[in-house]
Amino acid sequence: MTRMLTLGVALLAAALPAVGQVAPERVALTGVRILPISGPAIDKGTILIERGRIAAVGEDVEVPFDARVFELDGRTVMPGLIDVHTWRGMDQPNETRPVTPQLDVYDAIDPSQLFFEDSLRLGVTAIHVMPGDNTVVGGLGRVVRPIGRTLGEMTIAPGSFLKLAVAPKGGFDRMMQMSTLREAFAKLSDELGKLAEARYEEDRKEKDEPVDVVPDEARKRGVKLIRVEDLTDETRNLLRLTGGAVTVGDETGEPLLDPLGAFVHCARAMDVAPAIQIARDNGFFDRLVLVLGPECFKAIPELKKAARPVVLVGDLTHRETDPLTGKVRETFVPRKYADAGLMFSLLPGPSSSLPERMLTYQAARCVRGGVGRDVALRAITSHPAETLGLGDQLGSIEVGRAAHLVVFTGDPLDFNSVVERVFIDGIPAYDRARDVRLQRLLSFQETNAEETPE
Amino acid sequence: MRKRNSLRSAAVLAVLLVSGAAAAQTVIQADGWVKPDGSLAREAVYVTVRDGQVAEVSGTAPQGAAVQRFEGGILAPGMIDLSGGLAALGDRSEDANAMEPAARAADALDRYQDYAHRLAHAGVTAFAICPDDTTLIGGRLAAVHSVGPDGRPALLGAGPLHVSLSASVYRVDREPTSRTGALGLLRRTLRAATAGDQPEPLRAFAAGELAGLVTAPTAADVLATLRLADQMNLEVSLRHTVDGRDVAGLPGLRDMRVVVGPLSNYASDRDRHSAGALQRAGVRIALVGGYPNAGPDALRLSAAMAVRGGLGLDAARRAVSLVPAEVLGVADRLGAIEVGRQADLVVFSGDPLDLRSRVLAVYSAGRRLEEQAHD
Amino acid sequence: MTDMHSPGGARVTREPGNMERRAGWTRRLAFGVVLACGLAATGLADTVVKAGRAYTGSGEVIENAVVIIVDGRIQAVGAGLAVPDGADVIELPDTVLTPGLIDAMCVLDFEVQQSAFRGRLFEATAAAPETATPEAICRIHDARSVDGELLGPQDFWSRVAADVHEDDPNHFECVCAGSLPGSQAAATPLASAIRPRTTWAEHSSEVVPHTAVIDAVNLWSNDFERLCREGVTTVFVSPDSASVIGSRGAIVKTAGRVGQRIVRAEDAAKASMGGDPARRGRSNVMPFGGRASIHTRRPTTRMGVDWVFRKAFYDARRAQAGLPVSGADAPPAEAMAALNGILRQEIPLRIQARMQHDIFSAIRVAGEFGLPFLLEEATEAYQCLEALKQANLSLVFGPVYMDATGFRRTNGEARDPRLTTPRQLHQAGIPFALTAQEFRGEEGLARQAMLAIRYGLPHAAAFAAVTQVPARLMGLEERIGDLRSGLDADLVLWRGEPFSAEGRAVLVMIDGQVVYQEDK
Repeated sequence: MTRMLTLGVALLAAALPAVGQVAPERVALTGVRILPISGPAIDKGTILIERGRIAAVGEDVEVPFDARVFELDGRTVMPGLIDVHTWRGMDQPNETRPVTPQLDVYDAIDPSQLFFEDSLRLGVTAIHVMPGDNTVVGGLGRVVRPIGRTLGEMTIAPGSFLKLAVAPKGGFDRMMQMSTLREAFAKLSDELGKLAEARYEEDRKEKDEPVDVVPDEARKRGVKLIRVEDLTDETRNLLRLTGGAVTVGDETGEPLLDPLGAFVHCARAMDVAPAIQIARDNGFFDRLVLVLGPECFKAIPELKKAARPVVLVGDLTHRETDPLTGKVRETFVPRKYADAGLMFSLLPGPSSSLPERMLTYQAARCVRGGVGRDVALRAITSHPAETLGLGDQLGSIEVGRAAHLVVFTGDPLDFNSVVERVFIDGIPAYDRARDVRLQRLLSFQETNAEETPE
Repeated sequence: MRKRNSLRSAAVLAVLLVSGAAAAQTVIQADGWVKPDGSLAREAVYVTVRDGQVAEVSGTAPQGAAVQRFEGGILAPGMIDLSGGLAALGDRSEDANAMEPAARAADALDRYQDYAHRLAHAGVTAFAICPDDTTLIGGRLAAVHSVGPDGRPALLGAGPLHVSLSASVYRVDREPTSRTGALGLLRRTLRAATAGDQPEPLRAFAAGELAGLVTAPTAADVLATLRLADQMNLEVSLRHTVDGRDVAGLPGLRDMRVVVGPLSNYASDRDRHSAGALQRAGVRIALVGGYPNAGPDALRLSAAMAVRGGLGLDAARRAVSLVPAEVLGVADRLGAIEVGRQADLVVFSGDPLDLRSRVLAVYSAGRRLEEQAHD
Repeated sequence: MTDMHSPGGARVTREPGNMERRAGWTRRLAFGVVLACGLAATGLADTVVKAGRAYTGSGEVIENAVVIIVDGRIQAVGAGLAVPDGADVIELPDTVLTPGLIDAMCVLDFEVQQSAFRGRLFEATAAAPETATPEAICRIHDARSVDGELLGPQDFWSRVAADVHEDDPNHFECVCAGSLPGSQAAATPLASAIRPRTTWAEHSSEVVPHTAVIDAVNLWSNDFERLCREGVTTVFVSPDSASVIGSRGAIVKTAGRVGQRIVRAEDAAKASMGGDPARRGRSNVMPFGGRASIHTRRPTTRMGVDWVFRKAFYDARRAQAGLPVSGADAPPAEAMAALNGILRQEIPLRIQARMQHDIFSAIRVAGEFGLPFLLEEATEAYQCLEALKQANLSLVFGPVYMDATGFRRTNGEARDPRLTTPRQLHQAGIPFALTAQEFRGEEGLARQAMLAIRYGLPHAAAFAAVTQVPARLMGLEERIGDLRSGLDADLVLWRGEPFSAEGRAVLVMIDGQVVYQEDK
């Protein structure tokens, strides 16, 4: 665990991950229509990338003599799309045990899965891989880019969110789910209390002083004596979720670890209030992200009050049968969130659905359903970036941001536009002209399969 | 007095006495009555019963007759429940073959069961035995008088031919296995019957001389029945129809009879509104209660639920008496308080549709049933 | 016991007036003859529809389009036509007007049978008097799905399961979340999907062209309403592919008055090549659970399928000539009339085949009897374009997909699809209609056209493939599929381009009547 954390932090600090595909020093995209998301569109401009970061954006950007230039006249470039919550890319989404805060998707991501190639082809440059929904406390996620041969190369940011589910895990009912969830936190506080007591007793022993207080008092006095090494893996991540500092009674110790947030899965509207409550009760409300099934739009008043970012699962339409007429009523869910002014992110639909697996199509559906174009575009770029706490790095085209860029042949929401190129941290990661698998699906004859992308 | 054969009835020990069998003349006086059109008239009524039949219905007391007076009573025709499935009555339709047109539900009447008495005491003076839904053509229904001359159920006659379009017909080991197959087979058989190549009830049915009762749960079944009835010129009523709201507008349904129910407190909104929607479209509604699975009062519960779903009050009263009699083909004898009809009469303490109303007295063919000791 | 035939019995007297009236209307219904009297004419004053732009069935563009409708039919179409006095005007200037879309191979949801379950459940209680306790009634109550629909529990579960992709480990969660008994509001599973080995076909024989799907179509199905909302106004309701020579399909409109909705009650018979009849024959499963058949299902291989097909027509010819028919695979006697109808080309024939060699088989066996046919699904059509051209075949192609799901995924016949097949068919000059089959919503018919365009089919050709071409392939070009004088006024008004990701149908009209209007 520590190994992974250190590695992740090290990679972040380096800003330029050690990847097989090395980014050119300078890259310039010229003559291109720019959708920066954070500001108005630039009809014809240039983006200059230096060492994987955006160095300049605008109509009149001077291109250095040594930059590798991509002339992209007539194309549209937008920030790399972000898949903010997926279990894909792993061999299995969930451990069968219900409470597994110690797990980390790091151990399960398979860089060779076609999923990453597919994501890249559709313009996704950052993927938040998370444990699946069939869990109570599922483990730690991780933000990766769809390129790289090892997980180290792929990592953008180590996990800063635990997966929790309020919707019942298979075989659980809702009462069981909630009591297991509450029990996990109760167990945490009990263990920390015991640990504090033990530490206090040890401390007195070392000082050759008698333990002369009742256990409750000993626990309080021991709070500040707990060290990171004392913590077990289970305790460590749950403690981070509650804020990273040990609290017993009114006594709080020094922060031992960085805090974690949580992605909490709610399948039904009735899951929303308990999810918010459990976050408030355990100190992670400020780092709460709600993953919402289609019916959850009915809890919008509660969600509005909480004002936390939400993620909408792929099926954007809620259907209900009217008991009297037997007719099916359909509600297009994102419209409700947009009207309520909530910050929401979209997810791709099932991979088998040819259109829905594209984030840009999901955004286009929103426009069709009456959501503003800007909001729809933000829901696949800047909203997920901010939700992940990476808003200063990803999700918009601004100077200083990581150069995650997607070049479309036309407007991104036009279904006839296709992803032509993708840049990730300045690396030219995808070129449609060299996409062998796609060419095979699209072509009359078998293409030469030996041809490989750069 | 007769010892009843049920183990469960030890505590019940109902006593049934038939008083004054075939008395020359009885006059029943009540403070209101259900007219043949189903309306409830809250006016004094004197019904004279002679030889088991209604001899006179009048607003004034006939001269010199002994009157059985029911203070505040409402006189209603004996109710008729069409829901008795063969299987529910402890028997089962032969279904090795999908076609059993010559079968007669009457053969399955067990006169020694006590449910008929319970029905009668709840005001249900006649009921049907219906072949199960498992055969495409299951034979003729039986119309049964709950309490006959000897105090036991008695056969009134053979009812319509039962045709089932329910999914229960499909079987894995014989034709048909599907809807398309079932309707294809039905059509072929009826065509053959028209050519004289089938047992008598089918020939009569195909020629439009014998009525049919079609179990048609879904809207598609109703439509298929209407098509078939039209193509073959059949005379049919429908049964178990739950999609009433959908099909109500079909002009072909107008003036047809549709049997709805049972409607319990579990009935969905959709089921409850079915009867009302059909009635508004001009369909004649009959209701069923679901005995013997449900209690004997289930017929009145069905009626109350149907009224809540929009069925008119008069239509609801007809739906438990006159219309079921029509479906069974006994409407000339049963189903209304009218001179010349059999005197199957029930005195309620209020409107029969009001579930609080008690049964004060039951007359079966003019003979009053003794009150059950436990009631 | 007496069987009474007296007036007291169940014999009935008929009222001729009443019967005639009924006969009249259902005959219209059965044979789809729209009469310009009675139902059809009532309340249909002249209507005028004005839209910003219109596409005709061939994809031709008319700006400022005006359509004049009289008696449910298009009287005139043109740019800026004058509005007749007293006409109702529907004017939506920022919309695009098209003829109603046509799906020539629509696989309907199982709704009829779900409904039929209500009957079954009732009988289930009736069959066991001792269980008729309040608890038993509660059990029945529990069989209601969460949204109040009454389903068999197994059916509900399998429907939910079918809606979830096999590789989706979240599906368990979905099942839990969507199905707690007693809860009032959860998502309605809308699985317009066929499951492997599940069949509604009559399987007392492999040759059943004497049956017709019209008998099983629930015209009130929510599926029709869904199709209608998506701009599809006419569908060929396709029979099951579980029989070698299956039922006859029906052509119906997706909305409108019941009496007018049936365009053709008994249309083409559907034969199937390849794995479906063999596979589904081997171990059928009833949609409400359980093994479906103890009937000996003869074709268990592709050889067997070809043989049963061949023998059916061979025997039909013998029967026609008065010769005896024998052998284990002889078609049932009642099928002979329909088979001979196909041989005489009075009943159109369709053959479903997905893989290249199955397409070749279809061409070969049909060729043996000189039978023209319409090729369905044809996943690997791109591998035999020349053969298709030579055989002069027309296709109902689709759906377009990259990774097969549901039963296509398991039957192994869709391992090698190509996204560009519509483009290639177009370039090869092979007439084809597009179909969504069982797909709806984001993969429904309009979206199939959208996908075909993305992968290279010209817009006008995609347009024709869901309007004019299917109408022509079904011999209905004088009735539907275009904006022309004399055709049914089946119109769709779209906000946004019809086949763009952002486009949606906002108003649908069938036979001149508004049957769907978006509430905004």
